[in-house]
Amino acid sequence: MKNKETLEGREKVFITDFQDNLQSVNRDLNELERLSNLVGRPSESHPLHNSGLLSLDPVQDKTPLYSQLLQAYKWSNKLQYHAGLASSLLNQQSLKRSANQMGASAKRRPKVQPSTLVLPPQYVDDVISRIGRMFPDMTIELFRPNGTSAVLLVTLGKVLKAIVVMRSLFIDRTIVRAFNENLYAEDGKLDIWSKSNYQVFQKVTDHATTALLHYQLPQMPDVVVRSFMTWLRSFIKLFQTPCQRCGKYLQDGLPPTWRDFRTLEAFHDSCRQ
Amino acid sequence: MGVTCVCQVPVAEGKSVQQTVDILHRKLEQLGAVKQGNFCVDCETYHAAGSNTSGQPPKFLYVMHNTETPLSCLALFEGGPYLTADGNFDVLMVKLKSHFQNAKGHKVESRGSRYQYCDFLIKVGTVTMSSSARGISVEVEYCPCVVPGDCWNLMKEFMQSFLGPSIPELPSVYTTKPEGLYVPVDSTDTMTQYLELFGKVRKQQLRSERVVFVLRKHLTGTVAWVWVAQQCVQKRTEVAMLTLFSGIKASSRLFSLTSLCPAPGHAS
Repeated sequence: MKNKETLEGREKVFITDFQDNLQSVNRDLNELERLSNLVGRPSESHPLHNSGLLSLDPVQDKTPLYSQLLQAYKWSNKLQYHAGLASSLLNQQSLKRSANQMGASAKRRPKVQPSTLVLPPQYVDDVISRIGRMFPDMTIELFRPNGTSAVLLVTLGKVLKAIVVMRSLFIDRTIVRAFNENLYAEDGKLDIWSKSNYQVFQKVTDHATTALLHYQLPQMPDVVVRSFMTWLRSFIKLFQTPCQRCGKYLQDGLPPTWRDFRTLEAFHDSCRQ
Repeated sequence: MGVTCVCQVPVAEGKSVQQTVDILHRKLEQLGAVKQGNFCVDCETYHAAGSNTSGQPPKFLYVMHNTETPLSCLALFEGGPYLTADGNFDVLMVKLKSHFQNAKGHKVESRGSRYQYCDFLIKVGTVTMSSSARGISVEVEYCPCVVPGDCWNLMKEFMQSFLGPSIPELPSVYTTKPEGLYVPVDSTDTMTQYLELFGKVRKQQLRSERVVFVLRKHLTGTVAWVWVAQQCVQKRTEVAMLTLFSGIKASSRLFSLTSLCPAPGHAS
């Protein structure tokens, strides 16, 4: 009898315990349900999509993933923007110095002949002498110190002397010096490397190099040489023309060394923008 | 060698020669010029012996040195040919004593600092005659250009930036040259300009001495005038000269004196 009572008693205790536990589970579930309703759906329109959810991580200090991600995103965005600008600019200038076109496939590339690089020296001589006759105040002498590549020595009035190194009819590099400066190295050869002692002509050399990059027309290299010489000829009044913008002769001790590529107007380097 | 212009700078009002030179130095440094040591140009005068006997005015020979060309010297005949010789040409002149006599006390030199600004070389010097400062010389050289007519406007603009409005005209050495090309190898054009400047300084000196002499002679009563004149000679300021001349003209007692001393406006 007593045994039965104790058994019942234990059963009851167990049931109440079980009920309690179930209730607490139920309560917890309810709580969870309530909370989960509060959270709501993460917005789909986050700019970083799912990686944006990293921002919800509460332990920022240990894993700064989100801020790093933002930085990287900004950087790559900017890169894309600049690349776009550069590509549109480069397309305008069509700066193709080599005969190999961009679109040529790897298979075809070896077959493409750089036609403008294999012009006969006689033709180059003709073109240069024709250009020389066009400008009476400019004398152009042609040398071939090393092989077939020509080196031009351009004397412009009593203002400057320019050495123009050619590769076939392409102008490879140029250096401008004063009229009274030495053009020959100690061994008696044309000195095509050392720059002018005067700041004016160092600046003019820089601008002439810019002009080389500006005047590019791979199909008609003789036009390029002619345009470059026309541009260079505008320096005949290097010391006589005031700047077209500020009207002065000197700025930081230098005369206007920039010549506009189309209008050939004179500007100081800092006045040309 | 580029295009050079040598000019005389008047001493600033109320300032000594040295103070004016200092002001010029400061202006150049403000502009951004860098000091590059010193320079000196000197000039010895020789009389051609025997020229006096024929009744003609004596002919002068000037021997000049320039620290820019330290190994050579330049001999200029007045209004005639010139030659560039080795530095020890002076020794030869001693041997030629019977033909050319050294005019003692006629030695003029200009000494001072050399500045560089971009492609410009600037030399500010004090002109000294018989060990006293008589004036200021400024030499500006624009090195990359060889045609004076081409870069003259540019040089004028540069000189204005530190000399103010009182800048010289294109030096006569260049205007007389037909093709206007600078001789690149020697510095004759520069030296001729220095010689002209020294001549001008010497004339000013002579004129002021003559004024004092004449005033002493004619105006013994008016001691004040003599005093002013002496001050003027000591300070060698153009301004003092101007005051003096205008004072003399105003007194109108000495017409002969004004004709004797030409007004400073047209200094010959």
